[in-house]
Amino acid sequence: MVKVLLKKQFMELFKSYFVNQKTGNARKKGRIVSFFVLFALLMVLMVGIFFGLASILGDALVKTPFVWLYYALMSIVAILMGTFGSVFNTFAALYQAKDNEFLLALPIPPKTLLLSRFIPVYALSLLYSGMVWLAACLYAWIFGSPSALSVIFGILLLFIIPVFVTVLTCLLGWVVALISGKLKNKSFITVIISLVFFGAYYMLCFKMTDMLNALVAHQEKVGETLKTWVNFIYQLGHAADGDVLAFIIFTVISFVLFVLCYYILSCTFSRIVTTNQGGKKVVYRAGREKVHSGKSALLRREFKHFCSSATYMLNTAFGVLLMPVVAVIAVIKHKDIKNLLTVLCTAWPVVRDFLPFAVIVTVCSIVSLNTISTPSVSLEGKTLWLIRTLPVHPRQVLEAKRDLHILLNIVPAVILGVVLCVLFELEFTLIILTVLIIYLFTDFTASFGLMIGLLRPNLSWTSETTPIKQSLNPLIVWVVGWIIPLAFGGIFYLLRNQIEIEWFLYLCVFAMAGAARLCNGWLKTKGVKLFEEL
Amino acid sequence: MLKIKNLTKTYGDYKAVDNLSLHILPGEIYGFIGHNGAGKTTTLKSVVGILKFDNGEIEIDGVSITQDPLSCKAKIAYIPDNPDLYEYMSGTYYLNFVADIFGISKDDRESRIKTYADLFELTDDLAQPISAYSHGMKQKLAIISALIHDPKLIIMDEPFVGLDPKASHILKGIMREICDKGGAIFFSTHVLEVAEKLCDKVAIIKNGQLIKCGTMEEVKGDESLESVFLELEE
Repeated sequence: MVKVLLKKQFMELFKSYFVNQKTGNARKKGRIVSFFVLFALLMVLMVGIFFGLASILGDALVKTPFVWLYYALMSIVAILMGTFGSVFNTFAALYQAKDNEFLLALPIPPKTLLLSRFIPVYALSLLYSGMVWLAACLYAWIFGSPSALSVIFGILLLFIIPVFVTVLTCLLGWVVALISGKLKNKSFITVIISLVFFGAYYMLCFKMTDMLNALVAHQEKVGETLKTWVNFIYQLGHAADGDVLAFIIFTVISFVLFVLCYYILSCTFSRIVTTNQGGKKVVYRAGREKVHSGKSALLRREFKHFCSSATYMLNTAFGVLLMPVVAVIAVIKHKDIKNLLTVLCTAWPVVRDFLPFAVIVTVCSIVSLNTISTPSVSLEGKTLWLIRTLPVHPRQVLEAKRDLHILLNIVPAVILGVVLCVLFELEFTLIILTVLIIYLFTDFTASFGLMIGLLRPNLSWTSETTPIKQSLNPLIVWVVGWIIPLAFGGIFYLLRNQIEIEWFLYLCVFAMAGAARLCNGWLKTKGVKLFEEL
Repeated sequence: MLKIKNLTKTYGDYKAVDNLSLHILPGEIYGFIGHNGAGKTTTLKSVVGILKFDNGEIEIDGVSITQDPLSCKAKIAYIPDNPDLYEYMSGTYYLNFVADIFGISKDDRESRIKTYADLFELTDDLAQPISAYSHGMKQKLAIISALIHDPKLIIMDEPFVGLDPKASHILKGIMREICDKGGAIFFSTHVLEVAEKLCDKVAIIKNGQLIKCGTMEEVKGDESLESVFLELEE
C-alpha cells in the first residue's frame, strides 16, 4: 500500500521532468539529462560551499583525537540545515495535500497514508542535511586519516541523520497544524512564526564562523558539554569516527524517535485533516461591495492568492523582507562599511570601479530569491477553467501575475540599491545607472519566471509545495538570476582597461532592457498562446 | 443564440466529438444527454472557449467564438460539473471578482447578489472562505456567479449534482425565467426525468456523434425519454 502511495507521490513530483504536461508525450532524453545535470551542478556548488565551512572546523580537529567533535559539530549544522530547509513545507505536505480526504475515504489506513507523506519529507531532509554531511565527511576523509569503519558509518549516517531531521520537521509541522487550527489569519501568523525562525537561523549563519572558532578554541569543554547535555550528538560524533557501539546507539535512538513521532502524529492525523478549521464565523454585511476595473480585479486576485498561502509567501518572497533588513543593517553598520571600503580602495584602487557591481550583485541576488511569478500559472491548478471562461484576454492574466511580482519587489530593491550606492559613495550618474539596472533586472526576473512557469507548467498537483518548491522552475530562475549580475562583473573585469565603468553600465542597462523586453514580448505572443493551450 | 456547426474535436487519434451540429434558439432550454464519455463535456467546454476544437464553427449570438472569444464570453456563463472555485477567496470576494471582470455596476451587483444569495440561502455564508464550503454550497456560489452579469446564454454541465432538492427546484425556476426573458440554456444531464420535464428540446449524443435531436415530442414521441435513450444506446 505504502509503495502504491509513494509511487503516486513521486510520480506527481517528477512527472514534469519526464513528461510534457501539455501533450502528455515523453520528454526528449537530452532535455531530461540537462535537467539533472543542472540539478547536479547546483548540488556540487552547495557541497563546495559547505566544504569551505567544514574546513574552518576541520583544520583544527580532523587530525586530532577530537575528530569526533568535528563530526558532532558538523552534524548539528546538517540537522539545522535539514530542519530549516524542509520544516516550512512539512505542514503543507502532511496536512494540506488536496487528496488527503479522497485517500482517507479509500480503504487506506490513515497510518499508511501518513507514512507515505513522511517519505517525501525524509527525501527533502536528506537533500538538505546531506549537502552538509557529505561535505563534512569528504573534508575529514581527504585531510584526516579515517578508518574503514569511519568511512562506512559516515556513508550510513548520511541516510540516518535525515531520519532524525524528519522527526524534528514533522513534529514542528504538527505543532503548526495544531496552532493554525485555532487561528483566523493563519497564513500571516505562520509567516511571522517562520520569519522568527529564519531570523534565528540567519543570526546563527552570520555568527557561524565566530562560533566555530570559539568552539575550536574550547574543544575539550565543548566535548564535555556535548557528552553531558546532548549525548545523542556525542554518540553521533563517535559513530562517524568509527565507534560501533556509538553508531548502534545513535541509529536506535533515531529510529525509536521516528516511531514515537509517527505514533503521535498518526493519532491526530485524521482529525486534523478532516476538521474544517478556522476562527469565528465571519458575518456577511451587504452593501460593502466595491467596484474595481478588470485589470485591478485580476491583480487583486493574484495578491489574494499570494497572501492566502504561507508556503507561497515564504518560499517565493523571502527576499522582499530580506531587502529592507539588509538596508537597515547596512545603515547601522555604515561606519564599518566605510572603513572596510577605505582599506580596500587604498590597497587596490581598482576596487572602486567594481562598487556598482557589488551593489548590483547584492540586490539582484536577493531579488532572484523571489520567484513569485514562477509558480503562479501552475497554482491555477483545477481552477484554470474559471479564468478561461471569463471575458479577459490571457495577456491581461499574465500581466497581472507579472505585475504582482514587480510591485512586491521593486520598492525594497530600489531602496536597498540606493542605500548601498550612497554608502559606497558612488557618483550620481553611477547611482542612477545602478538603480536602473536593478529596476530592469526586477522586471526581467518577473517575466522570465513567468515564462519558465508557462514552459514547464504543472496543473495537476495535490500539494501546492509541488509547483512552489519541489520543481526545477524556481531553481532555473535562481541560477539565471545569480549568473546575470555576476556575468556583468566578470565581463567588466575582462574589459576594464578598454571601457570606463560608466559606459559599461550603460551597456548593462541596454542589455537588461533588451532581455526584459524580449521576455515581455515572448509573454505577449508565445506566452499567451501557451496559456490558451494549457 | 448558439450555433454549433460541424464541430469536431480529437484527442490524439480519439474523436471525442465528431461533426456535431446544433442550433439553440433564444427562449429554449436545451438538454444534452449521452452516456459517460460520449462527448458532452468536450462539446460544452468547446462552446465556452476552454477547449480549442479541430474543425467546425461555434457562434454565440452571431459571433464566432474563435474570432472574437472575449465578446462571446461576455454574453455567456458556464457552470462546470465540479465547481473548483478560488478557495483562497470568500464567497463575497469571489462574486465581486466576477462582477468586476464583467464590469457590473455597484447597484446591479448588490441587488443580484442579494436576490440570488437569499434565494439559495447562502447569504449568511458569503463572508466565509470558499475552502470552508460544502460541495453543494460551492455549486450554489458557482450558479450565483454565473447569474451576476445577466447572461444571454448559460452553459451548464450537470448543474443539479450536489444541490439539495430545494436548490434544484429553485434552479429549475430560474432557468425557466431566464428563457422566458429571451435567454437560452444548454445543459448536460444524466437525470432523464429532469430533462423530460424541463427541456424544450433535447439532443442525444453517442460516441461523439449526434444521434437524435429536436423537441421533446419529436425525440420521444409517446415513449419515455429513458426508454428512447436506452434504445438508442443499444
